[in-house]
Amino acid sequence: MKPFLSYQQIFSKDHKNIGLLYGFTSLFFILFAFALVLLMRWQLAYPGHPLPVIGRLFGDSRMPNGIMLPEFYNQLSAMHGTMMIFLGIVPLSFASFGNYLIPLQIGARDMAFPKINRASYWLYLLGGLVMLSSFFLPTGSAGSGWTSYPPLADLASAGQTYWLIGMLLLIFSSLLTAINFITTIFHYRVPGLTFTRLPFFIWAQLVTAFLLLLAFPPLEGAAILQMMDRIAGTSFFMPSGLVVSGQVLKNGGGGSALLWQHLFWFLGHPEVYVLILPAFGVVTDIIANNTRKPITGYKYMIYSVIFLGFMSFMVWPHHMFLTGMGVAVSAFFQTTTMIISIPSVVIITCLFMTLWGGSIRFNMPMLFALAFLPMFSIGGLTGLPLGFISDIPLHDTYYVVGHFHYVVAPGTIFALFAGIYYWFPKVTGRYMNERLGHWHFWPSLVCMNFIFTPMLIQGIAGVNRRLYDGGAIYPHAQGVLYLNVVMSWAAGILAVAQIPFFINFVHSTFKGKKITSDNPWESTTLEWATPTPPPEGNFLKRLKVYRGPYEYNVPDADKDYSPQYEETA
Amino acid sequence: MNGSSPTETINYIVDENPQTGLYDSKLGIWLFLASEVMLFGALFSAYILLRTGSFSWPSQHDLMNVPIGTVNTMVLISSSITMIMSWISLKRNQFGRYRLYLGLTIILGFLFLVFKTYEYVDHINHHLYPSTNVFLGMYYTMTGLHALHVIGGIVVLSYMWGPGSRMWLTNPKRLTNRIETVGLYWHFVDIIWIFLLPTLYLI
Amino acid sequence: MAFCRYHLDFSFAYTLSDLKADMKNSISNSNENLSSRKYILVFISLLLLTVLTVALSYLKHTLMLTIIIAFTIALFKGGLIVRYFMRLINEKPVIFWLLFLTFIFLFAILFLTFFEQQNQVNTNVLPFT
Repeated sequence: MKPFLSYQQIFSKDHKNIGLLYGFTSLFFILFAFALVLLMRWQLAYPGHPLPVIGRLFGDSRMPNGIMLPEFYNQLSAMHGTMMIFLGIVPLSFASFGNYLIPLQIGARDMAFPKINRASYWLYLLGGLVMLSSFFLPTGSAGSGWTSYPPLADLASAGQTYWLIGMLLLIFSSLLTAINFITTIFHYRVPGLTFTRLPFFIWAQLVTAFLLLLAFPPLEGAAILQMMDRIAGTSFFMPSGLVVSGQVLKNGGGGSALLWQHLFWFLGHPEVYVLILPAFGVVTDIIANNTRKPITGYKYMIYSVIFLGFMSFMVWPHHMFLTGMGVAVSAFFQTTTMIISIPSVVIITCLFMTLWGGSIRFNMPMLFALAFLPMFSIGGLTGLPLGFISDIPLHDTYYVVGHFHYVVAPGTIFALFAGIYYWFPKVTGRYMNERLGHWHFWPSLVCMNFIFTPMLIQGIAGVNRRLYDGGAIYPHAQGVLYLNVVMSWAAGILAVAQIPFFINFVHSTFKGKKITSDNPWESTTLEWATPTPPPEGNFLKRLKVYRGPYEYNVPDADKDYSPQYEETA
Repeated sequence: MNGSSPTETINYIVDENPQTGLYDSKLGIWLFLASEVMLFGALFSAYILLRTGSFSWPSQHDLMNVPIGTVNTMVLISSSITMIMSWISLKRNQFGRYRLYLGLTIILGFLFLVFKTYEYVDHINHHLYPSTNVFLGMYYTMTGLHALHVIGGIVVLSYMWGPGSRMWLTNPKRLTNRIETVGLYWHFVDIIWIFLLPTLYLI
Repeated sequence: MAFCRYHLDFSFAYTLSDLKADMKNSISNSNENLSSRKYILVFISLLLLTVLTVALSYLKHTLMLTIIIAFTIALFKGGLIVRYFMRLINEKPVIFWLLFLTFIFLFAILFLTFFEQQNQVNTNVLPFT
C-alpha cells in the first residue's frame, strides 16, 4: 500500500483522495449515529432501567445512576437523525461515491474545480466537528428533533446554536460540491459520451446535485433566521403571547412557527430524494453488470429521474398535513405527492424487469442490490398512505419512522454497501472476502426487517414518535409495547452483524485476494478502463466512447460484455 | 493536474466548452447564483408570510431613510457599470483602464457600505433594533446578509485589482474570464438590492 | 504591457467623457465588437427607473398598487441587468434554462407558501399580532 495518511493524501486536490476522505469520515459518522440510536433503543425497550456497564459513564446530567433522562433521549434522537442524514448518508452517497467515480465514469482527469473540492471536504469536516463538539456542552447537544421546529428550537439550549452553525457549514460544503459535479459532468465527458450514453449513476448524481443546489439554500436562510431569533432577540418564528414554564415570554412576538416548517421542508423533501437517488444509481450499475443484460427501459429511467427531481420541489407540505392546512391546499399537495410516486415506481419496475432473463451472478454486490429492490419497495409503498390526507392518524407516529427507515436503512445503506463491495477492487486492487460478506449481509437483512416492521405496526396502533419511554404510559400503546424489546434486540444483533464488515474491510485492504484484471467484474463502464488503483490523471490515454453504458451480451459480439470505450464489439 | 501522464490535457479553464459555450468558472458562477436566488428567495418568502399574516405592520416608508436608500441604489448601479467597463477594458487590451474601473467599483462598493453603516447607526440611535419588531428584524437580516455579500465581493475584487492582476502578464485571457466571472457575481448583488429597496423601503 | 496610470480623479464628468472617448476609439482598439454605448444606455435607464420608483412611492396609493408598480419596475430593472450587464443574450440556452428552472422553484417558495397561509383553517395561527 502507498503511504497511508500522508500529507499529500490528506490535503490532496485529487478527486479520488477527496472521495476517500469523505468516505472514511462519513462511515465514522454513520457508526457514531448508530451508536446513539443503540442507546435510545435501550431506553425504549427498558424505560427507566439503568444501562448496565456503560450507563454511569455518561454522568449525572445525562444518565444519573445510569438511567436516561428524557432531555438526553431527545438529544440522542435529534443528533441521530441529523448526523445520519447530513454527516453520514449524503456525504457517503453523494460526496464520497460521487467524487471518486464521476470523473472516472465520464473519462475525465479530475473534477472541474479541484481546489474548491478540497475546500468542500474541509468545510464538511469542520461542520461535523462543530456538531460533535456540541455533545460536550454542559447543557448537551441540540435536542429539538432533526427538524428543529420552533418555538422549541428557538428557546433551546446552546447545543441548538452549534447545530445551526454546523448546518451552515455543511450546506455551504454541499453547494460547492454540487457546483463541481454539475460543471464536471457538463464539460468533461470524453468524445462520444453523450448524455444518453451516461451510466445511470451519473444521471442520478447530476439530478441530486441540482436538488442540493436549489433546495439547500432555503434551509440556509431559515437557519440564519433562527440564529437571529436565538442571538439577536428577533421573533421570526415566535408568536406573541407565548407562555414558557408558566410565564409569558418577553419578546417582540409576531412570528410564525409554520414559516420555519415551510422553509425547512422545502429542503426536507428534496433531501429525501438526495438520500435515495445515488443509491438508485449504484444499484442500477451493479444490476446491469450482474445480470449481463442492458437495463430495461433505461431511457424511461432517465426521464423518470429528471421528472422526479423537478416534482420533488412541489410536494413539501405533505410533511405539514397536521398543521391546519386548508382543504384546497391540502388537495393540491396530495395530488402532487401522488404524481411523484410514479417516477420511482417506473425506476424500480425497470430494475425488476431487468432481472427477467438475466444470467444473474450472486456475488456480494449483487446480493445487496437485490435486497435493495424489495426493501425500497416496502419503504415506498408504506409512504403512499402518508400521502393521503385521509390517513392523518398515521402522521407523527412510528409508522412514519418505519416508512422512512425502510427506504434509507435496508434501502440506501444496502445500496451503498453494494457499492463498497463492488468498487473496492478498483480502489485497492483486492476483492472483499465473500464469506465475511455473507456474515454481514444475511443477519443485517433479517435484523433490519425485525426493527422496522414493528415500527409500522406500532404506528398503526397509534404510538407517537419521539416519546422517550416508547409509549409506556399510554393505554393504547400497551398491546404493542413488547415490540420495543424485539426491536432493541434486533438492533443489537444488527450492530454485531456489522463487525464482519469492518473486519472484512480492513483485512481485505491489506490481505484480500488480488484481482487479476483491471476490470474484475467484466463491466462496460469507463471507470474500469484505468490501471488499478487509478493514478493521478486516471487514464493512460484519452478515451473515446462508442456505445451505451450497459451493452452486455450484444449479439455477434465475441465476449458477453462490450465496454463503452472499446471500438470493436 | 500537471503532466505526469501522457494524456492530452483538454480543459475549459480558459477556452469555452463547445457544447455549453461556457468556460468552467462561468458555468460554476451561474450555478452558484442560482443557489443564491433560492437563498434570498427564502428570505423574501419569509417576508411575505410574516407581513401578510400580521395584524399590523409599521409604515416602512416612514421608518426607513428613503433618500439614503435611493442614493445607495444608485451607488450600486454605478458600481455595476464600472464593473462591466473594467471587463470591457481587458477585452480591449487596456490594462490601465481595467484597474481604473475596477478601483472605482471597489470604491463604490465601499461607499455603499458606508451609507449602510450610517443607516444602521442612525436606527440604533433611535432605539430601532432587530428585536423591536418583525419588520426591523427582517430589515436587518436581509440587508445584513446582502452587506456580507457586498463585503465578500469587495474582498475578491480587491484581490483582482492587486495581486490577482499580475495574471495579465502570464495568462491575459484567463484574467479576463475571472473578471467576467466576478462581474456576474457583482451584478447579482446589485439585482438583490434592486429588489430589497422596494421590499423594505417603499411598500 | 503598458501599465498606464491615470490621474485618480473620480468625478463622474471625467469618467463619462472618458467613456465617450472610449467609444470613438473602440472600433480601432478593440479586438471584439464591444460597444460601450448600450451599457451606458442601460445604466442611464436604471438610474431613471430608480428615481421613478422612489418618486411614485411618495404618492399615496393602496398597498396593492404600490406593490404592483414597485415590483414591475424592479423586475424590469433586474431584467435589464441580466440581459445586458450579465450578457445573457450572448450566451447559449443552457444558462437561460438554468435560470428558468430556478425561477419556477422561486415562485414555488414565494407563492405556494403564501397560498398555504391564506388557506389556513387554524384560527389560532392568523393573524400574528
